[in-house]
Amino acid sequence: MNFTNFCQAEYRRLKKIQNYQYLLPNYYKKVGISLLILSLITLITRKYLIEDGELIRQIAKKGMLLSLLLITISKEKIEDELIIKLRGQAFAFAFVAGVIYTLIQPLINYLVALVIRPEKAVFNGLDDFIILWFMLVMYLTFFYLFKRYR
Amino acid sequence: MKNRIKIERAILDITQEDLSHKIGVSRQTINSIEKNRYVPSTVLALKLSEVFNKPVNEIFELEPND
Repeated sequence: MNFTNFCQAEYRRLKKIQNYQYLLPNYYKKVGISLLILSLITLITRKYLIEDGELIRQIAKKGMLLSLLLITISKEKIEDELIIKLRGQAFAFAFVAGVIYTLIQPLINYLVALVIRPEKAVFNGLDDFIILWFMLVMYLTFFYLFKRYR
Repeated sequence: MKNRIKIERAILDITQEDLSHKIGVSRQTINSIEKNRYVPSTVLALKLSEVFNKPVNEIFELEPND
């Protein structure tokens, strides 16, 4: 394979990825909402009723992320070009908000801890669940706001 | 960009809902285009032109600041 052919093959592969229809059918939104409710119930139940349920907590947290992802990548009832545009804008906003949040939130946590309990103030990063949860929730918030005021 | 979709709809006596079904978008998208909040793609503009049986530049018109 010469260089031109290689470049053409790479270009075709890139176009295939670019045009890949990653969205799930609309009914996955209901699946996502059901899973989200189930995860929330599990988390609340574990907190108040189960003494040592770290494994349950971890599973419920993963379930919550999965459910938000399902809601995020499932199609609207009518997925037209305006919705596709709004989806892109919401992804961009959520991504930027996620990065800013990840950079600023640990600092705020630290400063607040310094004021309230200086002896226990430590500078920690955010855990992956919080970051992903924040980005998914921001995406959904922006998307439904944009959709409402389209 | 200005558009005459509302007028063309009135001529054909069809609602936003009817038009949206004809070109396969949601009613809100038609509303956004009519209110100049969204500029449709060429494909959608051509679909509109087909429904109204008029050339695209009779439905959409550029404004001086475009």
